[in-house]
Amino acid sequence: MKRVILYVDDELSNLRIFKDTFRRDFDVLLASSGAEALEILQNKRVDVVITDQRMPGMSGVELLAVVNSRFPSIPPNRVILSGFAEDADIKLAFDQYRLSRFIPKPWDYDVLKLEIINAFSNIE
Amino acid sequence: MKLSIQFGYKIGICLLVCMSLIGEIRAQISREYLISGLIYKFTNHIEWPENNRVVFQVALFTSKDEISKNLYNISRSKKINDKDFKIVTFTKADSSILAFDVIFVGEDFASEYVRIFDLVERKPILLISENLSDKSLVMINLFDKSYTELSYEINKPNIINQKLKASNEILIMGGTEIDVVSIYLKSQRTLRSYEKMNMEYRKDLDSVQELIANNEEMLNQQKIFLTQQFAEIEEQKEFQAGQIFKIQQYEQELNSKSAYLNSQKNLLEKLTDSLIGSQHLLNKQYVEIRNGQYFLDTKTAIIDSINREIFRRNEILSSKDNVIEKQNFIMQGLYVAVGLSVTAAFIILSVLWLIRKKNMKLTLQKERIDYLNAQLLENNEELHASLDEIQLMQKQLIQSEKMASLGVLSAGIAHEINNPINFVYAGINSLLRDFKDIEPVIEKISQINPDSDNIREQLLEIEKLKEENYYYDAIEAIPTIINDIKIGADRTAEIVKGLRRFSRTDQGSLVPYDLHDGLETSLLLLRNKYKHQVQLIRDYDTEMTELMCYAGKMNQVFLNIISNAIDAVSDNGQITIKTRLKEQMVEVSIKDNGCGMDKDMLAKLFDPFFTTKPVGQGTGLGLSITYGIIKEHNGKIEVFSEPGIGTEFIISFPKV
Repeated sequence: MKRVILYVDDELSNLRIFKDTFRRDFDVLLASSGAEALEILQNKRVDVVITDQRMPGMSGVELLAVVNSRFPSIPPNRVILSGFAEDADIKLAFDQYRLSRFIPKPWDYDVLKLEIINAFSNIE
Repeated sequence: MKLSIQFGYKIGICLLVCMSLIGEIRAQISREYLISGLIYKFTNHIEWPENNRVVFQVALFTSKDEISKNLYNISRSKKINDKDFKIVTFTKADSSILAFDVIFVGEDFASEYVRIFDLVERKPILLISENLSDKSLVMINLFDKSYTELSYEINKPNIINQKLKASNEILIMGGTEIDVVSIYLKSQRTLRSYEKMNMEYRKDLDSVQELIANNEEMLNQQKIFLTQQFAEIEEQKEFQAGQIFKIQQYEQELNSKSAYLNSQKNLLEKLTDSLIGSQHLLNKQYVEIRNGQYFLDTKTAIIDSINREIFRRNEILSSKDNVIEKQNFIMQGLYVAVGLSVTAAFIILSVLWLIRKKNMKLTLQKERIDYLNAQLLENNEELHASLDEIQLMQKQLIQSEKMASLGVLSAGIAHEINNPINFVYAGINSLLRDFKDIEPVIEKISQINPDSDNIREQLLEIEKLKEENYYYDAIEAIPTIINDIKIGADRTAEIVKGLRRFSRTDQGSLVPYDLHDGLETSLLLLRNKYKHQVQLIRDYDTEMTELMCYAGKMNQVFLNIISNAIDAVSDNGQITIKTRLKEQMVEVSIKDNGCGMDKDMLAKLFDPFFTTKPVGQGTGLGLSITYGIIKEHNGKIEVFSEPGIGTEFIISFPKV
């Protein structure tokens, strides 16, 4: 069975490209906002969450905080933050929410895939 | 014979003579036989309350068979209270004894007596004991008076307590009544001894309490000590608060000092202005003095020429003198004429002397003017130097403001560029993988041999390959991804173009300037700052013409004002940008519904170094530079603001 990844980004192009890049390796679920992501998390099994930091409404770090408190089935070491973020925000995410990784954009296929696989290995 | 007092007897207090001796029974017959007889006798002298019992029940707690045997024998021929009676022997007391009317507890069951007494208390059951020591529990007690003599005693109150009635004849058989008074006294004594013990215990308790009190006192002392310590801590806190207050005061002082320094700087600028003015005045005066000097010089020249003329005439006169001397001889009559000439010469000489004196005075004046002039020149040089310095400082300040706003911008722009770059970068990666998927399929297709007869097989093989390689997924994805890459590239190019437009270096000359283009450039650079929380309303005049501007500087004006507006509005704010072409002027209004400003802030708005932002986030130069740029364009800037409602900046420029 393929692992399930949820990718959250407010840029539709990023969503499409991510899905096309990783559709061979994983089951990719997409959400264009934090709220949408939380709805998917409520209804479907998700193994790893990758989220953009700067989004309207709910930022990546804020989403991480909610996932931490509401979805203990996805431990924070299986959440990856992406994009361009203020240093202070990333530090908060690492310190307080035990974030797994921060990957700056633009992402490289091999690096990102490796990080996702590393995150899966945190399941066991 | 014995005398005793009865307590609580129904008939009242009466004295009875007890004839104990009569009841004494000799021990010629066996003791057990006697006991059984007495039990029978007692029961017949006791009156039970009415009951509908057919058989009278007697319980025996004794191991002596003779007693029960005898009683049994009696029961065969005799009755108790006109009823047949039945004897049951017990070895253990339980609630079943409540069904009996008389219970005998032998001395071998003395340990059970109290329990039995408690069980039957206040029920119509008669207890007969044997050699019981606690007289207070006796109803009827059989006791050995001496080794050979069996007697009995009665405690009437206890019998009455059982709702039974003992007839007086019961004592006639030889029993005694128990002295309840002495029992009472005895129990009082016991009670008193208990009380004594109690007192001792109380003493012990008191000492323990004293100990506790001591401990409490110690605790209280510790509490007081703690309270003191708390108070000390509070004091220290207050002291610290005082120190903080002092620090704040120092800060305020520092602020007021820096404000003072600013005002000094303004004063210096004003002084510089007035110095420049006075320098102009001095220059003018200098020119006037020069003119005056020139005038004097020409006058001196005239006087000199007059002098020379006088000298020449003198010479002529002296040569004429010679002629006159010569003629003296010839013309004696001419003496009078000579005398006249001498007088004339004297007059001329005196005039000459007067002119000389005036000349000297003029020279002195000239020297003084020269000295003043030199001083003026020196002052002038100093002024130039300080002016240069001030201009250099101003340039540096403007540069630092520009760097600061660039710093704020660059973070936003980096993110703004990051996403479209990601479309391109990640998109190409994805495209490559799609291509790898379809590559073998294309290869296979190109290898089809149309002449062979297994075309169908080949096509099937291709179809299988397609499915293995997610061929259709890739074919579906490719155009979308290409489009996303194009979006990314376009957006990146747009941002770079905006940056280039913003930082135009044509500051030296006026160039044609598209106002709407400039506004859009500023908005593009600020997009990241406002896109999530601000609603932007553009109200552009479609008739707008091109202006002649220092384009880079003008962009800086709009960037400054729009950036301030974004800072002023909170989430869900609104910014309206309106342009209007008027008869003589072009007007730009930038209006927000943000926090607004009060009168004090408005008054200081264009002051250099005035900022509402925390240290390090604003130089306080933005609007003062904006003001300078607008003045440079002969424009006007007006601000309308109200706290809680919003702020509007209206900038207007002449059309040409």
